Amino acid sequence: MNIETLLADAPIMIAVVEGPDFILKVANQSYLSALGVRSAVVGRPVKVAFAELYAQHSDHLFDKVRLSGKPYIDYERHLRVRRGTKIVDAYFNFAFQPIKNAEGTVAQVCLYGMEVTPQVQVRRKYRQDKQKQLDAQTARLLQQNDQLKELNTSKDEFIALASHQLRTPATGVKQYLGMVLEGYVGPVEPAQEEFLRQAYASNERQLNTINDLLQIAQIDAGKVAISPEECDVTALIAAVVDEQKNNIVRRGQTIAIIKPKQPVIAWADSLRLRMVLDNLIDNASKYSGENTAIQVTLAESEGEVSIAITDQGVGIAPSDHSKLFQKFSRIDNPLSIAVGGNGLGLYLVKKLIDAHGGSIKVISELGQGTTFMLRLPIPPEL
Amino acid sequence: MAKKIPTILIVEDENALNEAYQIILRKAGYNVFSASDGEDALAKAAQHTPDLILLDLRMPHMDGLNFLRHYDVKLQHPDVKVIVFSNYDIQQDIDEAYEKGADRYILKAWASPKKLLKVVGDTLAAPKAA
Repeated sequence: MNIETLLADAPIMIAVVEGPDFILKVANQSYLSALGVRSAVVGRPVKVAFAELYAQHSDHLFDKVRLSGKPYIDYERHLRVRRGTKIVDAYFNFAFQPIKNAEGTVAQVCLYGMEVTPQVQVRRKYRQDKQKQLDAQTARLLQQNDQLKELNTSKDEFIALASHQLRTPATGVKQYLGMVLEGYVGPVEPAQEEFLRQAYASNERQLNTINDLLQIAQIDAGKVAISPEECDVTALIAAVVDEQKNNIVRRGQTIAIIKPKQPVIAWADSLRLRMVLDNLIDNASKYSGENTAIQVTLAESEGEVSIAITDQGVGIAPSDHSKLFQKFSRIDNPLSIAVGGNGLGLYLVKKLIDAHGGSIKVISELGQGTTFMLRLPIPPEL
Repeated sequence: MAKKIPTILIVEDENALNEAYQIILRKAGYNVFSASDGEDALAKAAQHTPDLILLDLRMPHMDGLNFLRHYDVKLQHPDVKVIVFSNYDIQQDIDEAYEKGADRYILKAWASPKKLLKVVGDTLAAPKAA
C-alpha cells in the first residue's frame, strides 16, 4: 500500500505549498481537476499557477496561516472555475493546515478541500422553488382578499336593497292594521283590539329591525358620516325621556334626570345621539322590573361630556360584558325572551359613539342593575 | 265663505298602499285623487290642481324626482305643498327632493294612519317653505 498513491488518487483535494512564495509542491488529481488547472502548474508559485482563482479570493489566507501558525477552515467558498471549455460556479469546503519545521515556523501549508457544488445547488433550487410557491400563494391570497372585499360590498348593498324592499309590505301591514285599530272598518271588540295590537307591535319590531339593519349596513360600508353640530344634550335627553315616559310609567318604573344647571352643549350628531339615548333608555326600562328606578346623569368636565344611564334591572355578568357590543349577541337573562330584540341595538350604539370619537362602558353585575357610561369629547374651541 | 276643502293627489305605485292612503285621507274629509306613476301624476295634477301632493319616489315609467323635474313646484306651482314619501332613505334623494321644492320628506314605514294625517294637516297649514 503506497501512501503516495492513496493520496494521489484520493477523491479529496490535496495540495501542499511551501515557502514564503507559496510554491505548489504537491497537488493531487482531484485538486487539479476541481480547480480546472493542468499539472504543469506544479512547481510554480500559487499566485502564478492559479492566477484566475487568486483574483477571486484574497491570498492573505496563506499569509494568515503562515504567520499565525493557525489552521483556516471555510465552508462553501464560491469560486468560478474552468471545466472543459466553460467557466462554471463551484463551491468548496476547505482547510488550510500549517506544517511547522523544527524551529516552529510554518514551512509549508497543506490544503485539503472537497467540492460541495451539488449540495449547494440543490439547496438553492429548493429555496427558489419554495419562494415561487410562497409568491404564488401570496398572489392567490391577495386575489381572495379582493374577492372577499367585493363580496363584503355586495353584502352591504344586498342588505340595503332587501331592507328597503322589506319595508314596503311591512308598511302595508302597518296601514291596514292601523286602520282597523282606528275603527276605519267598524268598531273593534276589546279582545280583537288586543290581538290586533300584538300584530301591530310585532310589525313595528320588524320595521325597527329593518331600520337597524340598514344603519348597520351603511356604517359597515363606511357610508355613514355623522354630521356633528352644536348639540344641546340637556334638551336632547329631556326629549327622549319625555317620549319614553309613557312606557316607563306603564311598567311601574320611574325615571329621573340629574344634570348641571347650565345646558350642556356637545359637538355631536343630534339624530344619531338621539338614537343612542333612545336605545339605552329603552333597554334600561325593558330589562327592569316593576318598582324600579332609572336615572340619567349628565355631567361635563374638562374636554368631555359624560352621560350615565343607570337601571335597577337584571344586570349583566362581567363575563358577558365583552360580548355586549357585538353584532347579533343577546345575553341570556330572565327577561330577554319577553323583551324580544334582535341584538343589533348595542352594536349600533357602539358604532355611533365610536364615530363621534367617544367611548361607551358598561358597569354591571348579575342582579345588581346596569350602568352604561357614555363619554363624548368636546373640541377645545367650544 | 266656506273654506275650500283641500285636494290631495296621492302618487304611489304600490296598489295596496295607494288605496290605504286614499281611504285614510278621504275619511279625514279631503278631496282625494291618485296616480300610480310620475306620468299619470302629471296628467292628474293638470286635471285636478291639487293643494298637496303625496309623492312616492320609486315608481316605474317616471319616478318621483323625475316628476318634480317636469312639475316645477318652485316656479310654476308655488302654492302646492309636496310631501315626498319613500321607504328609501337615501341622502342624495332627500337633498334633491328639497332642492326641487319638496316641503317634507317622510319615511313611509314611519307613518301610521294617525301620523300620516298629522303630517298632512301640519303641512297644509304651514306657510309654503321659502
